[in-house]
Amino acid sequence: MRQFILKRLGQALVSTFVLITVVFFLVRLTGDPVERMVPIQVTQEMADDLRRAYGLDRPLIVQYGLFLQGLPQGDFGQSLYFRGRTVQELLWLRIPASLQLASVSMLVALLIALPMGVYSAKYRGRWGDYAGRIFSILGGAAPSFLVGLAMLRLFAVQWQIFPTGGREELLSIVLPTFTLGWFVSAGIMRLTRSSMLEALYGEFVKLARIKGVRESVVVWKHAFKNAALPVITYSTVIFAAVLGGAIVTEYVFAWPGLGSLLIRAVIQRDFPVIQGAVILIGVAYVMANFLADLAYAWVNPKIRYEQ
Amino acid sequence: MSKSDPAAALPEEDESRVKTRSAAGVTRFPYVSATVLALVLLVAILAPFLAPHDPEVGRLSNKLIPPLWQEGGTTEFPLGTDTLGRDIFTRILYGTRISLMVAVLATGLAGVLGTIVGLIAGFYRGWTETILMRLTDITLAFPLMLMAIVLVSVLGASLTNVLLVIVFLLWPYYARQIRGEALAVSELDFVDLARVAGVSNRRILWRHILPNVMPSIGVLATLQVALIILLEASLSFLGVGIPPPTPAWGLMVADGRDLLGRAWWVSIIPGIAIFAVVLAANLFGDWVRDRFDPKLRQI
Repeated sequence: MRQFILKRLGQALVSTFVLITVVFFLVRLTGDPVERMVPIQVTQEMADDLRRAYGLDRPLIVQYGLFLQGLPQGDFGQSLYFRGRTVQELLWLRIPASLQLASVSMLVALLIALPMGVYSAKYRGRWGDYAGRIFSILGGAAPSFLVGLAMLRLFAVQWQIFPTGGREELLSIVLPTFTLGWFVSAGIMRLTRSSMLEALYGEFVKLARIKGVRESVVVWKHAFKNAALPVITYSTVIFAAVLGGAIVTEYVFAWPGLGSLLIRAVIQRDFPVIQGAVILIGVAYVMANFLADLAYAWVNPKIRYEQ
Repeated sequence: MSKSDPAAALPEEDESRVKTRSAAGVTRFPYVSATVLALVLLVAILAPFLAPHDPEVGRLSNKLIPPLWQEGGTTEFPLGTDTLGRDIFTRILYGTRISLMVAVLATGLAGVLGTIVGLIAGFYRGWTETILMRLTDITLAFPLMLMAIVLVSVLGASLTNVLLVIVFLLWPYYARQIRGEALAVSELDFVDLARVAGVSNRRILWRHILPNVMPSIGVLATLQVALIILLEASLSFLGVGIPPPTPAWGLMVADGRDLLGRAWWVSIIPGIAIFAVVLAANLFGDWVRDRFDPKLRQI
């Protein structure tokens, strides 16, 4: 196990390093950010000053070295668009909103998907099973921008039950949560259903039934407990995906998280912010996947030896 | 279930192994999805003949006409018009071309690239394998949507760049799968026999191993079509995909984003088109996987 952890950790670190490097050099391929930033009237000297102020006049490799040096302290440099603000500051402001949306959506998704998946498996072939499967099939295919905009049109514009966007009001989170949660619960429900089916037809469930154990106990204690393992590990992976995948949802609802910060930075060509946001989300993603791998190997020893 | 008769609580024997194909029965052919996909293909080919208007140029005097079934709608613009007076029906018809082109080209290119990498890694082993597979793992470690946004925004939003980025992000899925299978196939006796018979490595790879991994490539490709359509639409919606005035569906949804109150149809109708195609492609892909799942095949 220890060797497995070390190996996986090493892989995660290499991925993180490659991500950082790739992102660093990529955003600098876009061309000179100063030229896009300043008005045309600005003189060459002023532009040069600006370049010097941001350290853009140094050789690329030196910039890279300085960048790596700053990373452990979370120093991503200065924002080009919001003058005088550090990227770190901007990221910190956005992290709570992103985490909140991701965790609330995840929680809601689990609360919907787990009972639904169990029910679908238990009553396979009944109308409830079909309803659950349709819910999951639709959720897996509906683009989040369509769901988000349709929700906005109905609940915010037409019936004015929920706010149109932002995060100021308590109810602001409802529509983004539904949009993200539906998509997430679709996958979880599907997996819960299939692993419950497998468990329900297992020998140990047969035995429990023959012993005369109550059906609800059979379903929840015997079958679900076994079926839950893959679901839990999958949920960790999904959570990572939600961190990165909430971008569209955040953008639609103007939710002030990392995703909408990233899109805005892309539009404004604010490359230090792009860099910071991508690295932060990317590292969170890689780490969550690493944890999911560990959890998986922990419950299923076969994995450890296969690799 | 009654407690008095425990045997009744047990599932019938043929259901006890849900996962095997023979027990579950091959899922029925998804006629509806297949029809939708065939229709989309047909529309994409025939768009210029079917479309009543110009997809990119409209008249401002026709702007924001509601769809047929709403008050003020006309048969001339059955699904309404956008802010520039362009016919949404026409744009949706032409939009099938963009979605399909991206889906087909990206799937094809990623498939070819990933298959070559996977075959070489699985067949030659050793250092080649280590390097190629590390590369695959690293690419797979990045969040898809995030990388797509950053890459397209760096390269510049255009159809070619969207294609390149999707190919770049999706080839590792093929490489990983094909490598595993190439590995298994190359251990089989007939490969040894071919070698004994003096067949060259290259010929073994292309003539003996490749045909055996073909079904997996097909399954994976079908499953990825929906993902690619959704990815392209999302990128275009966010403004880092296909640039205007091309009638890409995601772009059309973005056009109507600020008009939800006044003219919901501008974004919702193209959104439904994306939804329908992705749904059909998903269902069709599921069927292909169930039908040809390589894991169920006896290699």
